Amino acid sequence: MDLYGFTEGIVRWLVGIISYFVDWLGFHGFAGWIESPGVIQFLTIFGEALIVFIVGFLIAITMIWQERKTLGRLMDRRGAMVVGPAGYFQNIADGLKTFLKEIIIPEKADKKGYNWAPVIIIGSSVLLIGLIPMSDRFFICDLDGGLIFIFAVFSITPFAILIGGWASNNKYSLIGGMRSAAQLISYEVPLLLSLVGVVILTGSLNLGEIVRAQQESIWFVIPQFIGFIVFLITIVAEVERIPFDLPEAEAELVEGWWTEYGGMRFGLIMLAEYIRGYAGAAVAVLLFLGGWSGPFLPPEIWFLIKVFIVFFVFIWIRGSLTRVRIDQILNIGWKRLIPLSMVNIVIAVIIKSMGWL
Amino acid sequence: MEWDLLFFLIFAIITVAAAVFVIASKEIVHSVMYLALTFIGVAIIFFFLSAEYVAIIQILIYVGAVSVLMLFGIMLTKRRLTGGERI
Repeated sequence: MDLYGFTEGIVRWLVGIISYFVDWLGFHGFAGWIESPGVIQFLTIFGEALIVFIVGFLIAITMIWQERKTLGRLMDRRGAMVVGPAGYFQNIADGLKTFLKEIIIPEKADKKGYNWAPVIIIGSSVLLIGLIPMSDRFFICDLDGGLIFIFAVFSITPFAILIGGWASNNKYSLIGGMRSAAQLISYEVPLLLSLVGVVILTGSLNLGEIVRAQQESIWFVIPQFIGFIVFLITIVAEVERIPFDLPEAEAELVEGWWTEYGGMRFGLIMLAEYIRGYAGAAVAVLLFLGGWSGPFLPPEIWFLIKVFIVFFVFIWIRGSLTRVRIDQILNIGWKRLIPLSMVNIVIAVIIKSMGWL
Repeated sequence: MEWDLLFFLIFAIITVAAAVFVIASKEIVHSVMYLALTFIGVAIIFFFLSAEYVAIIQILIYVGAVSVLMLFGIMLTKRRLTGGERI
């Protein structure tokens, strides 16, 4: 049973109860309308989105906890450990605290941009959850161009960062926004080129098709190893984690483009960052590490295990490396990663034309 | 009522209104924000016409790249921060 059928069952049951009561109250027309197929379909899609959003939210919270614990161990301390089992509920306590803070808008900020930038960032990040299939039965949309759509949604965020950095009317935040745009120019090209090898080998942009192709042959991390490395480096830049977190360099720019954001906005942007981290790790798993394939356990569990392993690598990178400079990231992007991804495409074309996969 | 028609009308109104605001707004950065909203609205209308690929490429190129480059160009030219000194 897939997610749609499951949700439809729940929705039909609830709607049945509601329409029974409404009918008993005497509104026969309304009771008939509420049971019509269009309404059922709309409510089912709504419920599906709700389920997937809650699951993604829980994954993001778990990732924050994982990051705190692992980073603590890498720094020879324990991380959060007081609230809840192994400090798991510390994030929820922090989240509640950010919600209780006063909302402060800088007096000379550009109100429209200042208020809309976090909305765009959080909205696009949450949209990413809905685009990622967790298995061949747990997904919302099964688009033919799903892979490209994920990166299209990813690429909205630098625009919002630039707007937010400008609208805060603060030099630090403006520099952070500018760095975000400059970084976008350097990593977006090798990121999309490193995907081409996988797409050539599969012949499809559909994420389910890509995973099925890996189940039939071999995980693409082996024939596409260079592409995997390029993808891992650029996806870290895409989700703005530490070696490439130039827009929010704490040491130089206070807190970068979100210096002026406080309270609830800060908390939600923080959550959106981790949702993007989840999406990046999930795309790495889907494209190169076999997606949800694995023995014994249910496919969703396998998918989550792989995602958390990839995210552990992200945390490890964060604990080990220092931040690169803005000219260094341009050099890395254009002089190292683009030639490597071109080599990767050539390898993919050779493998495909020889018929080895 | 057809659900498709209702949502099409909602998104069409948003798109056209945003396109009007591109011209009407005083602040040039607001114009670019409305322009991005127009691009997203057009992409959603492409989805309604079941042209998925065009819609996705519309978002990837126009919202992700063209708007950012426009903002970059606006912000790199000399202009006044609202109520602040020139940067």
